[in-house]
Amino acid sequence: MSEEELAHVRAVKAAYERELLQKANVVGVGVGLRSRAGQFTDELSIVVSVDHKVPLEALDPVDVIPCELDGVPVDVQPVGALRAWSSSDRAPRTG
Amino acid sequence: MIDELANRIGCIKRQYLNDLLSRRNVVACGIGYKISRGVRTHQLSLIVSVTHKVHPSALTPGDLIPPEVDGVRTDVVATGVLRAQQNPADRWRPVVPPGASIGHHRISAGTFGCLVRRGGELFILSNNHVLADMNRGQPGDAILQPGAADGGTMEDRVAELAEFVPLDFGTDEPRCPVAGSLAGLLNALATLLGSSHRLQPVRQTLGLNRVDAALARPLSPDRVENEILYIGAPAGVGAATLGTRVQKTGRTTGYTTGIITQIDATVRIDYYGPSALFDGQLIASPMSQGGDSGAVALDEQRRVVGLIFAGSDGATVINPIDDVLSALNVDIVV
Repeated sequence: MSEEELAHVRAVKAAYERELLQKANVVGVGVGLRSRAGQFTDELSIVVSVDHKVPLEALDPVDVIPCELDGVPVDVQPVGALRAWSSSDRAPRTG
Repeated sequence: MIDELANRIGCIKRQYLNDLLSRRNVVACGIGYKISRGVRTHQLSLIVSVTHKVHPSALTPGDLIPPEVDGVRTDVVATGVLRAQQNPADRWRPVVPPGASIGHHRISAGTFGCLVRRGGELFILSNNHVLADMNRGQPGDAILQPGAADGGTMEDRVAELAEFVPLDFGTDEPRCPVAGSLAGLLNALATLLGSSHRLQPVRQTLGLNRVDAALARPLSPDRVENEILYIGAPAGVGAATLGTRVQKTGRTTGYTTGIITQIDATVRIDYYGPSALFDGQLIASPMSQGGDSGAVALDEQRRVVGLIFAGSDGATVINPIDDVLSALNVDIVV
């Protein structure tokens, strides 16, 4: 990928991230590598991390994530909830 | 005859074991033939293994190994730090390495990331939620090794909380005091007491965080080291980009590797209740679990690129190291 291409994807991501973060199940928005069938490719995209994927018909239309923004592909990756990584062996008390 | 003698030495060993193990640099105690001028003798003795030999004049009387104990000769052998059978969640003595379990006394457990310095002073680097209990800690609070979830108790205090970058939960603020004014109050107090160690809250855009980072001051600089378990000493600081391969050693999953799959990521992180928004983050493929918080991610050239603080079964979230170091005004110890 070229610096120019990267700068463009960063700019588009910055313009849309607030809006994307409002949508149901979205936990993150970044500039990243597109994944296909669980493998990372070297294709640049806006990556929207979601807790879990939901069938289109089960989503409110405002929560649907577009597959492209200003010509940049958008890749939706299910990652689960992102949690602070202290031990879950909640020894003295939960925090 | 030999059996009888070995039995007697065994009894004596059991009696003095805790005392001997508490002495400086001692890592093991056993029964064996005394070695004299490099040659094994026929004399059964109590063998005290130490990380390295120190001239008796440099030791306090309480740390000297007596030449004999209840009539049994002792033999002091230098073996280095014993670690083959240790794992990160163990109790590491006398020297605590990065990669090992650590935590504020009220939390479960996290990971000692690496050593950093400001001027001549050494600090343990990890996360706010590991060392400062999510803004609730106060300077001087006990930091345990291993963390409480791994059996650490107040006896295992190896460091004290020094400073942290307050986490900003925005409107999701939990039951914590207002970090900024608390820091101001403590700083005023520190000034009154003539302390040069100031708590430095780094103000960030409201509700938006850049780092989850804190420093602990080791009780003594010679009780910590710089060599990350299974990796070695960092070679400096690097910048990660898409596709960078990274490695880490953490309390829960030990040594693992991953690849940077996202940069410039804005993420919402669940802090077991409240959540906090972070921007400018790195995301790597899954390479960590709960308890690995605070581990540093290094590239293949062993340059530190980030501080791991969150994740899921599908991703690992990492603060870029430059942001961490500048927020805390420290440098990596190489």
